[in-house]
Amino acid sequence: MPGERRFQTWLDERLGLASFLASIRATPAVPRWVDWRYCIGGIAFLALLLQTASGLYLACYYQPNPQAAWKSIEFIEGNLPLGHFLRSMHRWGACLAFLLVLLHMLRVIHHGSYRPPRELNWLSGIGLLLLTGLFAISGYLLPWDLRAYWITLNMANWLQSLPILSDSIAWFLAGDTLWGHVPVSRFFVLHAIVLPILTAVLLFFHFAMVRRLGVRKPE
Amino acid sequence: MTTADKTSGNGHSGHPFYPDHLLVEGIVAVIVLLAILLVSQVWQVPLEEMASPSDTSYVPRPEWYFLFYFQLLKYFHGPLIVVGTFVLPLLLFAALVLLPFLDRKPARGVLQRPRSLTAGVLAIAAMILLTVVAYQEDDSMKLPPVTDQQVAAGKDIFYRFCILCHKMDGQGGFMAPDLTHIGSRSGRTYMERVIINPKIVSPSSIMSIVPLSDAERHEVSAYLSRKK
Repeated sequence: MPGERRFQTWLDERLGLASFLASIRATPAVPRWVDWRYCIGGIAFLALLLQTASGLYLACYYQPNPQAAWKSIEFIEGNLPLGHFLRSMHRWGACLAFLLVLLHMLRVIHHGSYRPPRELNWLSGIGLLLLTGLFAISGYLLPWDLRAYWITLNMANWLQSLPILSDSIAWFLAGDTLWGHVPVSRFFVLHAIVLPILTAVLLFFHFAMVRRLGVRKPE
Repeated sequence: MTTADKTSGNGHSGHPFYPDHLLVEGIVAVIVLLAILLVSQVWQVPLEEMASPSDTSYVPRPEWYFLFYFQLLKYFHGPLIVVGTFVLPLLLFAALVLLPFLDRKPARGVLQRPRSLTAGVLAIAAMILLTVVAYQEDDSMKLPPVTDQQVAAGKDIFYRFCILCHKMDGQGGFMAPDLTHIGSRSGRTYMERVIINPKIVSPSSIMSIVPLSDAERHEVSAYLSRKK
């Protein structure tokens, strides 16, 4: 057995790659009426991957406390190779991801694809839309510039009017004064750890449901 | 049987997912990727000044996709603000969650779902309208440069209306804040917003809306911006 083949066999015994690739090949055929509009969901996923890549790069240098947050962004933009470009990409990528998720949702509504038996897929999609919004909100504060500060303060003021949990949410957003480093680190943990985990779980479920139920033909 | 003859789970003939459909997705993905790379290179995002609680003149603007909500909240004041922050978002969220359970007719064509179609179109139209209004308000806040003539006219207006409540250089009323050094504390955009609707900035404000034209408002803010 040639060396390359032996290595493939060795790897496959441990990872099961051959059966995984076979399962992809065995995926039911995609109907002929599936056109570019059905790619929007997949491209939204791509946008999310781009956000993950650019976010990981930024997170390597970002410091989540108000004394250093703004300076770390300034450092990223001014000193790192492609730093300003990647920060711009992260910001524009967020806009793109939100736009694509909305367009995907509109396509689903237009084709009535939320109907039984796809209710759970629809609900997981709504969850992903919410998470996309939460990513944007939690990302606002991180640069710790004027825009970040005042938008977060405005949000905290508005949320004070909620009939339930208003104090807890406002406390989470603003801390006691918004001038301690607690809100910045909270937002960073939310943005870089909690939301990505929740998104990964929901995405897995969403894709599993698409794979199980297929796509619905429009009328 | 060729791969193209395979049938889907729905019983329709079609293309294999791999590699045919993945190729289509890949082409669209490359186009979108190139677009985002180009946009990121051409329109690099600026880092604004470092956060400062003392800069009360700053008027924050969210991204375009939250702008409609930001604008919507401007129409609710006092006890009604809960409608904007809680009731309307909850209704929208509930409508989306319940959609598959409420809309159960077998017909799926858009025109065969008049209620869903009407509700969806109205919601989208309202979001677009609010976004457009928000952008228009932003444009209206692009102020002309301050001239001495404007400052003189603004002083005249200030001493006719505002001095009744506000104090300036030791003169005037005592019901509202002293504006003698307002130009060193607040920017013109902020002043203009307060003049248009004082409650936007502070819901508890008792200041009444002064009926000024756009030009008169620019003159007042020009005068106040010189009071440093």
